[in-house]
Amino acid sequence: MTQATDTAAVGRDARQSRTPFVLRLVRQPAGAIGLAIVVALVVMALFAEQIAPYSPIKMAAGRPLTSPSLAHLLGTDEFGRDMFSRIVYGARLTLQIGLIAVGISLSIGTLIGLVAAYAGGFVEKLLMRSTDVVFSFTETLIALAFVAVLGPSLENAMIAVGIAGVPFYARTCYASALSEEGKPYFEASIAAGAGHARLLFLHLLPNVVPTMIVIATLGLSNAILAAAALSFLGLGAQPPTPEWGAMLSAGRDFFNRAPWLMLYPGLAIALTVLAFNILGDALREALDPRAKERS
Amino acid sequence: MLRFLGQRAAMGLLTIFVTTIAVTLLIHLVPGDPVEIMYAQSQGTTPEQLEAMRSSLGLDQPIPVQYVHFLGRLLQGDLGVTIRGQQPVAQLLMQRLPNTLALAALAMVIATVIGMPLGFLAAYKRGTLIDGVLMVTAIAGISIPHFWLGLLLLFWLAVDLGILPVAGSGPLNIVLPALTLGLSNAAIVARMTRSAMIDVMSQDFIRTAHAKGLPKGKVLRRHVLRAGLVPVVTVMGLQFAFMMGGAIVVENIFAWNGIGRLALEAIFQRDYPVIQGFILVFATTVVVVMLALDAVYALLDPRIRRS
Amino acid sequence: MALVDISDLTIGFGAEATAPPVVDGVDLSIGKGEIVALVGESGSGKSMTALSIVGLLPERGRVRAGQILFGGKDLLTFGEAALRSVRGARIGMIFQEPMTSLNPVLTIGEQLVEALIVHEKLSKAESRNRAIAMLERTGIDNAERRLRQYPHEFSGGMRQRVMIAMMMALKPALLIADEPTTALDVTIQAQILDLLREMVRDLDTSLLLITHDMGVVAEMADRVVVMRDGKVVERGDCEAIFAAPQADYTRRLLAAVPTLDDPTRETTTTSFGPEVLRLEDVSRSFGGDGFFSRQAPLKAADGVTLTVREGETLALVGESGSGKSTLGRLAMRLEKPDGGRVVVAGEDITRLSGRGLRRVRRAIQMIFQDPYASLDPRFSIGRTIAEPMIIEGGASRSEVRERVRALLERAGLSASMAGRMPHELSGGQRQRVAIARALAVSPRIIVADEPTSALDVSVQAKILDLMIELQEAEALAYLFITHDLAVVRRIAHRVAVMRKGRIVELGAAADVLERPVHPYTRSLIAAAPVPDPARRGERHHWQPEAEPQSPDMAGEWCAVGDEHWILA
Repeated sequence: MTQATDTAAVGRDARQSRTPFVLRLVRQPAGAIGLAIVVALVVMALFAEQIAPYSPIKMAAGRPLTSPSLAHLLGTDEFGRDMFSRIVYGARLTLQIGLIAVGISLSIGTLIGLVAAYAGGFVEKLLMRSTDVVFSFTETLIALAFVAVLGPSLENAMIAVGIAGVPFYARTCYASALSEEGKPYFEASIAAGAGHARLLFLHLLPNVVPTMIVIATLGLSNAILAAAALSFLGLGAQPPTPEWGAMLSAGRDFFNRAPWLMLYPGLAIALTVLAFNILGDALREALDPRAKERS
Repeated sequence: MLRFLGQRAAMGLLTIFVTTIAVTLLIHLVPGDPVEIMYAQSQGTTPEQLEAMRSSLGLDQPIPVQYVHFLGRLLQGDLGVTIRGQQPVAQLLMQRLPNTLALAALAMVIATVIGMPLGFLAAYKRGTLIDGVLMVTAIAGISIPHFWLGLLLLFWLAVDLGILPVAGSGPLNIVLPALTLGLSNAAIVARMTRSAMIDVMSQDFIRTAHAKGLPKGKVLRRHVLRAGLVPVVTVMGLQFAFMMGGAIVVENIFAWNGIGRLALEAIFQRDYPVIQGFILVFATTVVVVMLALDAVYALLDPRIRRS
Repeated sequence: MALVDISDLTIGFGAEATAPPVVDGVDLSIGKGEIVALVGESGSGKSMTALSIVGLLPERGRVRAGQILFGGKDLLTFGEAALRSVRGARIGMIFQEPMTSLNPVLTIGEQLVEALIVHEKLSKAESRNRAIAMLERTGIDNAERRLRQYPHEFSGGMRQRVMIAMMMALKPALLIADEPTTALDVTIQAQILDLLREMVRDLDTSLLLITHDMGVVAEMADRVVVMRDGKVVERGDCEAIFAAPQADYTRRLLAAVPTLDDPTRETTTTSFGPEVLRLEDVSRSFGGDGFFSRQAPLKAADGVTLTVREGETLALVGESGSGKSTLGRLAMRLEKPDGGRVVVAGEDITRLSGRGLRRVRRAIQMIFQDPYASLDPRFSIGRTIAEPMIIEGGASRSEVRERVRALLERAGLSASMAGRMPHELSGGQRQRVAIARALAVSPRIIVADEPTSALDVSVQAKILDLMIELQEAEALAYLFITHDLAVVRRIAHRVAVMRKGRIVELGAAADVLERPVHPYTRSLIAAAPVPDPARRGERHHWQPEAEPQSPDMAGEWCAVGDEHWILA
């Protein structure tokens, strides 16, 4: 019963829509920085062969444990492998890991959330109760259990991180879908005779997508961190794979003689994660201006 | 309130129940023959020995029977014996669990003591330079991998400055792992606190408090803080679970003798009874702590306390 | 000298150059003990004006010019500390949303005494006694026990009483009430308005009442100030403004207010066609299941029977929680009944599902209250209206486009709107689009759930006109759900009054509105504010002891007139 015809609000909405979305995103300095780092990462990943001076696994590209120099921008490791090349190839690996893990969480989670919200009744109870149970296992435990079963490897680490993320995505999607479903436009469509496919894929899905994009972006940083942690523990990528977490782990033995072995991979992970974090925050603000106040 | 806690307790029991099933099935999901994999590393085991092991682990029986046996032993506090050394798993885990709990609890205290006041300050100074600096620091904080932060702290405070021990299990040894875990989570706590407080500050009842002419400090202490604590406490449970997960990694950096370190060794050695026990103990701990925090939450929120 | 003297007040958000002011050169004065109503539609700047008096403008709001004299001193020159000593002590304020205006984690007592302790330096015991006295004064029983309770243990009306007690405890010289009854049911509204008037008269407090409701103005105000787009368009004595409005805008505003004196719509039983909707003994309850739940199920619909015929509007009237919206959803089969039958256009849809239900349901469409959520934000207007036709299939692309164009024009919009997105439209326009969409499948009946309650009164009148026009042209039937009796009078042929899941009175609009028989209907009608200050006080107050029957309201239908029944 509150009055809602707010012409000011309409005007505000309209102004926003005239500004292209990307512009609104980049207009926030944080968003621009995040986007820039992500673009740099993608370029590194796509053109690793062209950018990296050496093969990432070629031993004795230089003398072992030489400090950073013009020949080896980030120095060499204990086998004389070029660290810069390993970091560049590591970017490709890291993005792959993040995308695949998030892809798994996102697709399964969205499916579960949508179906639970749409189907209602027993299916909803079953799906969301089990999601709650799995969620309270915590992501680390799920990932660890998966690696314990499947055995340590990069592929298994990706799958483990992906599966571990499913409950969070499912819950978010469920909450978002549920709120859309309660809106009159959805019921108007039911009244107009819309079938399941139309309701699910033309009304529900497009309206939860913005939320899911935001949490997937923030989720990328989470997945990258988790996978790097697994590799660091020796449960993910195995040598000589140029994975940042594994490199960091190998580098710690040489900290006194070659601190760069530990610094750069760590820095690379931190920057990447930071980039996706601020990009995610900026995306959320751009999609929902009110979030700016809150986050 | 009893109803609320009853619901939560039921949910916790369900979680533990599901864990027991998952843990029984786990060994059968292993690609290949788990018994062969477990013994692959010890030389010269004969097929007879393998068969003996299989039956001692009960793996030659149908899965439901295995589960009933498992549950029966579990109720007596028996989690089986380790493959290597034939030590009782339950005893091993219980010896180590206090270390992990101490680490997670201390880390939680550090995260809360640093994160909450800073988050509150940022919310109060919203939009100012202080807020900006704090939030940039926080987002950088959540982006730094805790294993990297741990190594940096280790080499700086222990190796370079030598003010803290590198590894071991003396009383001072908990400082570095707890600091590592606490600092990375302080950033998360700060962000959360800030958004919860800002949420409260935009509520109508804060406007009412101002309209009454209350001094700003009183509005903050009485109204904002008390109402803002409720959502912060609700996510504390998740925070603790997060700490427990982080402990697994951090324990291995600092050779802290907790269950996480045990679990990692077990994974490498394919010591499935230990892994099973670890998962069960971990899940149970998280469930219990979450339940305790639910009780705190219920006490803080009159809407639940008085229902 | 006036207590408050505002002159040339100008308020804006953000930089002057980019944002036009939301309050633009407003002059306003309030005499001692006077009740001044500040009236306007949403966006008129009335709330901003009020908030600026106590220095509580939203974050980016700034006073750009003007002065606010309070007792001869300019409040705008006050520092934060000085302003704080005025707030609460000399000027109190009550807000619209009673549900969110009190802190949920503090007891009522704690919230009542804190201002007393701060401003009057009273001891704990003294302030507690004062709080108890104030609560009793506002009509709250068991005040001592109530002090220890939390806001969620109070109903909306009770919370508003607590707010009044809290703000009047310090006997302020001025009370500002921002839409204090807008969120309340009409019977509660009447009680709160009475209480407010009584309290300010007794304590000789001036009242600045901010409202959009001309009925409330007529009930309460000594003087009226009308605002539009940040400017004052008219001011004067209450009677004078209602009798002879000067400004064009005021005249339109008053003309748009439906009054309870307007004639009801003509009804002759024979003029309506066959029955298009029939609810037979329909029931639906919520809750009460679940292992841990010990609450009794809530009966939202309890054996309801009614029919709507072609070309007829049946208005379903009730307060919040009466189950009227659930009944609408049951008719649409958006909700499954626990018992009874739902018959639409001669077909029983109670047990239908899937394809069969979808086919029959096209005969019954719905319009919703919230114009913002009524349209899929990702669908263009054209696509929204075309959707039912596309689902039906069989029409070519150009046929659909042609029909969308026709429907838009039918709903009073320009055909060029098809390409727009929902967020580019105003609330009234969106509601028109919702009507066009409902018409797209040529339904026999439309269920309209409070379709005008979210709209400003001038827009509301136009939407009602449109609905009536469409009904007359196409012999549409409406099941019109509303809490607003003035709207009922305008659109309804017949009225069903609903309470706690049951229909308590049913009959022709003229009979029910003018000769109500059931005590509940009577109390509803008595409580509705009349937009005519000359008839102030004629309103009969609902006496709580007149509360009819036991809560389970067992009863039987009795005819009290021609086609006029009550539950007794």
